[in-house]
This record gives sequence, C-alpha cells and structure tokens, in this order.
Amino acid sequence: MSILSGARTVVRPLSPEHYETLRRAELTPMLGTVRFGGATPSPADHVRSLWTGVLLQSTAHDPASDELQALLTCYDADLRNGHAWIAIQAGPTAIGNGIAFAGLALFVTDLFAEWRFRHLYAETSTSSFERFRSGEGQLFDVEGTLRDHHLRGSATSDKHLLRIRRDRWMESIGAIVARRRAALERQPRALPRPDHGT
Amino acid sequence: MSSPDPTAGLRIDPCGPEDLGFLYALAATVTQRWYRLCRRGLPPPHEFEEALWQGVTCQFVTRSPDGTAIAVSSLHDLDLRNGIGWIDVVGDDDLHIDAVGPTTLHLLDHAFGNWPLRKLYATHLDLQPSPFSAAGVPFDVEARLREFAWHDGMYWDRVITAVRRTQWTEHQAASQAGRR
Repeated sequence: MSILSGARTVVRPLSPEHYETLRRAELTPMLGTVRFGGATPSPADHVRSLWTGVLLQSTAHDPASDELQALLTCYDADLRNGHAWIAIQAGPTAIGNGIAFAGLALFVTDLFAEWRFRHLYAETSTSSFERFRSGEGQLFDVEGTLRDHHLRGSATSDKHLLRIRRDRWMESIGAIVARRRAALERQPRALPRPDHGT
Repeated sequence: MSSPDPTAGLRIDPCGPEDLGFLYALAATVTQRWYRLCRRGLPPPHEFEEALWQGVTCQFVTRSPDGTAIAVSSLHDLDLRNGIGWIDVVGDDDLHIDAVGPTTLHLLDHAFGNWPLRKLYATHLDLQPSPFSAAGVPFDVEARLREFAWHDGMYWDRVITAVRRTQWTEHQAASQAGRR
C-alpha cells in the first residue's frame, strides 16, 4: 500500500518510528483495555503483537500537523475464501475529528481495489459500536453479537461482528473516495520556487 | 488420566505423540470441518504438530473399545480475564457419529470443571449440522458469518455458537434427574 491522501487525512504504511507512540497510546486507561486487557507488554512483545497475522497496516495522520491519529490494520487474510479482518485503533485526540474514519475509508477502499476480498470483517465492543452504528445496513451488516463476551469487574459487555461487503462499499464510499481523489489530482499544485541562492 | 465412558464404551485419553498419524489423516478427511487447524487448508506434515498445539490448553483423543482413535476434542484460545474459551470436537462422523456426543460432554465437563470459564464458543461451517447438537447441550447461535468459506462449489456460512456455564449446569442437573 502506498501513501493515500484525502482532504482530511493522510494514510501511510506503518513505520517503526511510530511503534513507541502506538505502545504508549495502547496502554492509556482508555485504550489499554482493548487489546491487552490491562497488561503492559514489553516494547519487543508489543512490536511482535503488532505484526502477528497482519497482511498490511497503515497509520492515519492529520494532514495539517502530521500527527498520528489512528492505526489501521488488515489481518487474518484468507484469499481462498475472499475475506480478511480489519481493525482501527484511534488515539484519544482522534475521537470526533473525523480523521481516523476518513483514513479508514481510504484504507478499506484501497483493500478492495488491490485485493480480491469479497468481505471485510471487524469486531467491536458495544461502547465503540455506538459511535458508528448509524452505518448499519448501509456501510456494514451486523453478522452476530457475542453476548456478555467481555468482563470487567462484575459488568459484562457484548462483542459485535460486522461485515463490509465489497459491492455495497465500492458503490457508495468507494465511489466517493474515487471522485474526491480525482478532484484532488485536478487541483493545480504550487510550482517549486526557483532556488536563487543567497 | 483415562475416563471410560459407561454409555458408549468409549475411552477418552489425553492426546499424545502416538496419535499424530491419526490426527493428520483425520484433518485430511475433514479439512473444512476443522476450522482452527485447517482455516487455510491442510497444513503440511512438518507444520502440523505445532499447529495442532497452538493456543491449546487441553486436547483429548476418543478411542473405540478396541483402542482405535476415532475423534479429537480441544479446549483452546482461553481468555481467563473474560472467562471465555473455544472448543473443537472433530470426528470422522460418517463412521463414528456416536462418538461426538460423549466426546463433547467430556470436554465441557473438563473445561467448566477445571477453569473459571463463564462461556465456551464453538464454530462450524453450515455444511453440516452443529457437531454439538449430538451432545444434547443447548448451544445458542450467536453469529452467522454469511458466505464465509468456499467448499464443494459454493460458499457456506460460518456459524458461531456458545454455551454458558449456567446452561451447562442446568443440563447436567436435568440429565442427573432424568437418570434417577
């Protein structure tokens, strides 16, 4: 995957320079319960966990500041059956600014464009699901809900299994992404200033 | 450890190196049904043993009264923080359909008895009935991943089912009451 850019985000392949930023972000109280369940893996174990089973992964950045906003991962790819799983981990600063989801739109569109996936699956907790459940039936389907899957203290919460269909995605979001990319490419670019020296 | 099954005359033993040949032959026969091990096709023999034990907490082989291995059962991917785990029961159903029920009951008893699990999951492709229905334990269908896997010229759904400790306890109590 090359660098993908839209009006609201820039998506690049994951680079080692971001490992420590991601590790620290994943160990914050808010995100630390998602993947490691409160455990604090060593830097080496964290890097191994980042790449286990991964087909490709990218980071989404704020185009103005270049600040890392989210990690986008495609894993457990099964090309025989034409599907893979995707995940997005957004840092606290990304929530609500749209950069992470704009990055996800580019990422998913590129996955469908470059790989013969029929479906992309994702799993999410109920609290995260509430932020984007309005897309159910249009952008994704809910294939099932593993009831009381997570346990924290004495409280349980569900895990939802979602499916993004290639045909539906490419007709809606994929078409929008393609139009915006084409518009960006048509914009005149500033010519480099001649270097007159001093 | 060996627990004779009084109803079917089956014996269920911990899986050992002597079972590798049987297990590889079984995987080759039921590739699509052994999802944990064969999700991307049958592993080559030199990778099979490692794959067989990857993420496994306990694994048993069911033997017929004459000692022939006929089924395998596994508890894997335990997540003790959340109190969940996954199980597999795989047998050559055409020949030994009767072995799957007792094998499942043994594994559930062993799993819920030895670990603080709230819930156990199992998954199968919808090309065959749930192997766990033979055990008579009420597994609930919690997810159906549509057109998940290609087999025999078409796509099949992957079904995820679950049984909770409370359901298992009730099932055991009902079974015991029925035997009285």
